[in-house]
Amino acid sequence: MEQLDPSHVLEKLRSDRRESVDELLPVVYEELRRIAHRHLARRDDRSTLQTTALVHEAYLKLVDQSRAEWRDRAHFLALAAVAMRHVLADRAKARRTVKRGGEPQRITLDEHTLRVDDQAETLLQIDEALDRLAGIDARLARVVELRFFGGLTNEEIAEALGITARTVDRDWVKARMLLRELLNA
Amino acid sequence: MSSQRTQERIPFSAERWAHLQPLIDAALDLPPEDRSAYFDSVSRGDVSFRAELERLVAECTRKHAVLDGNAVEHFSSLFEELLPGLLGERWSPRGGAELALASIRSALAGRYRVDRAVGSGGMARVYLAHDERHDRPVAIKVLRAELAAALGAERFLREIRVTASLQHPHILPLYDSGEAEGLVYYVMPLVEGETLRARLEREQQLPLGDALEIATSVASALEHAHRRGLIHRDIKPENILLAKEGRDGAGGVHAMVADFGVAVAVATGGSDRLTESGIMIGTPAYMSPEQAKAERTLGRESDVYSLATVLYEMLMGEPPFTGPSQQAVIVKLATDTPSPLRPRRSSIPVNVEAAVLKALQKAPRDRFASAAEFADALTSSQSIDPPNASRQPTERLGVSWRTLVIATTVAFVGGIAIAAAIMRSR
Repeated sequence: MEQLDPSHVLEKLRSDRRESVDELLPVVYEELRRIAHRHLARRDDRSTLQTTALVHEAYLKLVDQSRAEWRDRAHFLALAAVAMRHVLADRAKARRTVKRGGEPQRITLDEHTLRVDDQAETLLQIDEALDRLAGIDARLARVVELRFFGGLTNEEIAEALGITARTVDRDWVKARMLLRELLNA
Repeated sequence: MSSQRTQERIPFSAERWAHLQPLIDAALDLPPEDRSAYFDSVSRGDVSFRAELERLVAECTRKHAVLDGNAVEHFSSLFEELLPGLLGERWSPRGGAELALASIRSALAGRYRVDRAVGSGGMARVYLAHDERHDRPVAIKVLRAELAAALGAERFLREIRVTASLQHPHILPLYDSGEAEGLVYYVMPLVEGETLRARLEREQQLPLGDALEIATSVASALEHAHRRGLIHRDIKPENILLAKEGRDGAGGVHAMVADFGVAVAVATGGSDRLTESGIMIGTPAYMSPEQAKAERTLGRESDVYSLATVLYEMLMGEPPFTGPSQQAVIVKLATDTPSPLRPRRSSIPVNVEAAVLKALQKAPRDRFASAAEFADALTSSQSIDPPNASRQPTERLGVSWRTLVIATTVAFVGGIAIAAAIMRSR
């Protein structure tokens, strides 16, 4: 993929048109894949990956810092969170297809160990529950997407969504509760 | 999708949520002690509505095992599958996980035949393997490289080897430990079952009999260790394994305490460097007040306190102190008194409640002097009840209808447990 002109990314970020998100998403997506891959190649395979590190690196790469404003950054991170969710869900779907013809299994979410074999199924359950949450309360679903998939802080989420950090905090506990209900339903 | 089907699948419609959300917000704005009166006033005598509202508000304060973490870390294996082939042969579909497996295989070749990875946690990766010398299945934990570096392999192994001297039916034994090609590992028997955490995640509240049996088993394990001068320091549901008893799994549970020595190694070594590396050890929900204050020398009372928090969670569905952040929990730990148990679950015998609350006293000297005394206080009350009380369905009254549905529909849990798999009863 050719390098996107940073000023082009900024311009698209700043326009509120729905299409600009659709145009940028593949670019961010591709960059995330590239960065993730480089991390995997470099690290000593036992250390962990951090969502935040990946997303921020994508930002540094794609956006011209000197010309960007704080709001641009929040918007970019929000976009990257969506891309991150898609990256993971795509992989999980691919694995599910390979694995079996599809009877969904229930996964126990043990605090310390998410079995490697269960990761695809768990991710897809969360992804699907998040879609249903969006049908109940779109903003709560956005908060989860930004926080869990994008690694954004409450302040960054507040900036991206135009609400206060305190509201983000409250949204998060409610969203987490609803998701738990949806996952367990 | 028909609306009927939607109703079945979705516990909340947008309309229902629009109605509930302001009530939940208002309750969350109140200090916890004022919420009960608030629920009374808004439910206007509708008992089931009140119960649901109260439950949902309580759920808001509960952490989620996965969602409170970060996606890339939890789904590392998916991420590692991205762009296979770009780096050539090395990147098989399993990516980094495969590499890690290959390195542990080669490091332990000849001694253990490593089968596959079964899980990875904050501190270690867990592998299923076969012990070639003793011809038995084992679980091998390989310490994360950052943790091994921060603690120092020698120190870690020294601490954990102390636990090899512990021989007790409720302590998961240490078979072996060592360092090979830079990997620090320790070896345990394979236990078929799950962690107490997995069971709590599924059932939230346990039947009284099971809860007491698990607690007294852990207490006897602690008593055994304490008499030998060993403190566990990290008693929590993740470190209690529930082995299936009997071939058909109908023989009840057999609790075993895992990871003796690990927390000690972490506490006595390299805690500064650990902080730097950003590895968080321990969760304040199960810490004693003195441990939360980072006192270096902890007594046996600290372990008994942690055990009491675990029993509290088994009985009530959550540990005595919860909060939106670790800091919030630590503050409560220092200042709040645990809520009594019986108002919320009246089937709990008076003596059990008294024993739990005594074990949860802030000052160590106000608690039981030993794990054995705690167990005695629990069992003496057990004998007051009919022996089979715990099997009665009424004991499950504290469990919400939702949990019951899950318990019946979710048969699959299996060996998520960190040291999962077969310890065959001969």
